[in-house]
Amino acid sequence: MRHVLSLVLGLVATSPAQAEPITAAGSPKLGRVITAPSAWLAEEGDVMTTAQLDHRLDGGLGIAAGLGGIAELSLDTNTDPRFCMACGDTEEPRWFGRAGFRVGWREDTWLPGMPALVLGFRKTFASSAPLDDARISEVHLVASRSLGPVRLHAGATLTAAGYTEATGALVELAPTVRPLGGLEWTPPAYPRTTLLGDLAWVARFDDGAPPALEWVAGWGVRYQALRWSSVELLVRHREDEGLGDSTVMIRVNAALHRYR
Amino acid sequence: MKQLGRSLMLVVATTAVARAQPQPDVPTLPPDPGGAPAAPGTDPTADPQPGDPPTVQADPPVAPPEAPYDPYPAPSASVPDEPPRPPINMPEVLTTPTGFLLPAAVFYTKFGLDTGGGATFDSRIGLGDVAEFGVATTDAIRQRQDDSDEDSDRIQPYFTASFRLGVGEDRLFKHQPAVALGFRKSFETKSEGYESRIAELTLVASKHFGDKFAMHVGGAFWDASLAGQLDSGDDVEDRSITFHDVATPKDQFRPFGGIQARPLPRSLILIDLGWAPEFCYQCATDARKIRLRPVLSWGVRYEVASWMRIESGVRVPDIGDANLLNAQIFGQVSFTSWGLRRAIDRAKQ
Repeated sequence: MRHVLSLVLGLVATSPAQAEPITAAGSPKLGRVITAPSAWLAEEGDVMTTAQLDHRLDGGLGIAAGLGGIAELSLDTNTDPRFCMACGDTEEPRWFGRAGFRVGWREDTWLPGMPALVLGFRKTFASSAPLDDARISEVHLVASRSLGPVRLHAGATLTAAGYTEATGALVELAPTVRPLGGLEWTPPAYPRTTLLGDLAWVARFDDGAPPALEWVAGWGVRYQALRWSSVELLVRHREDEGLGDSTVMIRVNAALHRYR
Repeated sequence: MKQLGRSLMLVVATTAVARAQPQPDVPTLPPDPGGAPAAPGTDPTADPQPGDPPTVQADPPVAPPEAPYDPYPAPSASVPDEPPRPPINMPEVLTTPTGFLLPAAVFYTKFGLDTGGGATFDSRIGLGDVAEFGVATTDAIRQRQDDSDEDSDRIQPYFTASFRLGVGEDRLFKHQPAVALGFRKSFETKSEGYESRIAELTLVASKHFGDKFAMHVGGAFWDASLAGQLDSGDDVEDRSITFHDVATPKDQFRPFGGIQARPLPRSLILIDLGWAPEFCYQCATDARKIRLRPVLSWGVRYEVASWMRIESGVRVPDIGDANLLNAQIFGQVSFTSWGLRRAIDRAKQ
């Protein structure tokens, strides 16, 4: 076992040394800022993986694969929505199994200066208790553009959600439009480090009421530790939540290149 | 650490032993049949002497005596080269048929899964470049209990058989689109105590515009039947209805179509709009018990190899109600095979 670990560590240590310097700009771009989706798609044949853990010990995993250079298919466990089912003021995050399909165009595809564009659809297919049949579907249209050390993201989401009450009645949130936006800045003096900030809307389930949307603002830092892997330290604030209830989390991203 | 050191020593020792081995015997080439002169002082016909280095007797050359010896002879001329196979135009956009037929004796198989637990299978074979036969399971047929049931479920597996015939693009005259007349019929399927069947007659035309764009337009004439306890209340008897009895021919006809664009050499973007029957077992009127619902799909086809494609996308089963919650993300993989065609071509020669 130690031999295998030594070999892996040796390979990890030597591979960046033989290549170009590691920079955030030269590394794989991720399909989201913090919560908000970006218009970056995984390259053809790339597989992007993410693992996250927050201070409440809620974790999540995600995987996304590039398809044909113009699309991306993803699976993740999403803990963004909150539930409150007969629980007073305490609202707890629950996880959803979520699948996503995104199709889009890269920067400068049609015209010089054109931003990257993505039309995405994400849908939950499983959820943890107390609402086994809670569902969220989301269509998003996002534009992203690199402007020197800054990457800007702007777009809109169309979100629908629903669950079945104990009486059997279906309680739904009709498709609702909300904006989204994000910013990534890689200071030239720290080419491996990117500062992140974004704003998005996520679903919230309250007992007896139709699902609603609440804003989530996030900020943090991404450090490109390896060419194929980065670490993020993030803070997230929600609507109707005190500063003390903010979520602190860590994420590890890894890109498995060119399985083809 | 000790273990690591031992392993390192073992590797070094093994390498050293391997390097100390004598070189394996190298077979010597037979004397040049053309009569190349032997080295001075040697007699090529003489028996080997005890002090001579060992030689390995090589097989006699296969080539005729006048040809030079070739250790890697070329394949026999009797095996013909594989003729170049044209790219295959797919018989479906994502959910709707195209006017393209499979080439003769080409097999096509597709497996699909979606986030709603739907699973589909489709297998076809091209017949003589003018027809196609296939069997499939579809998850597009849906069911509801009554008018108050807002959520429709799929009926699966729903087995169907299909036959299509037509002509390829530019076959009859220049700029002629590919045209296919198809008939698809389901086997009787029982779900929740109700028996149902569907049948669909389609006529579709497909046309490429340049290398990167194609369009598909068609019309479908639907029929269906439903049998079981279709009325609420006590002492009601089972009965059956058919779509052609409860709907007008205009209601049975629906246009469908799709487009495909190829922004990258191996990747296509596909969008299509089709229709699928929905059965509502206890709906108040017979006209509402069998209805056609629009299905919008968009996605991408990635041609991994000439024989394999991966498709993924989104399917909204009832775009008429703009119900995003029922939309599904699907993944499909399809395979095509020229194996039977190759065997037929060989048998012809």
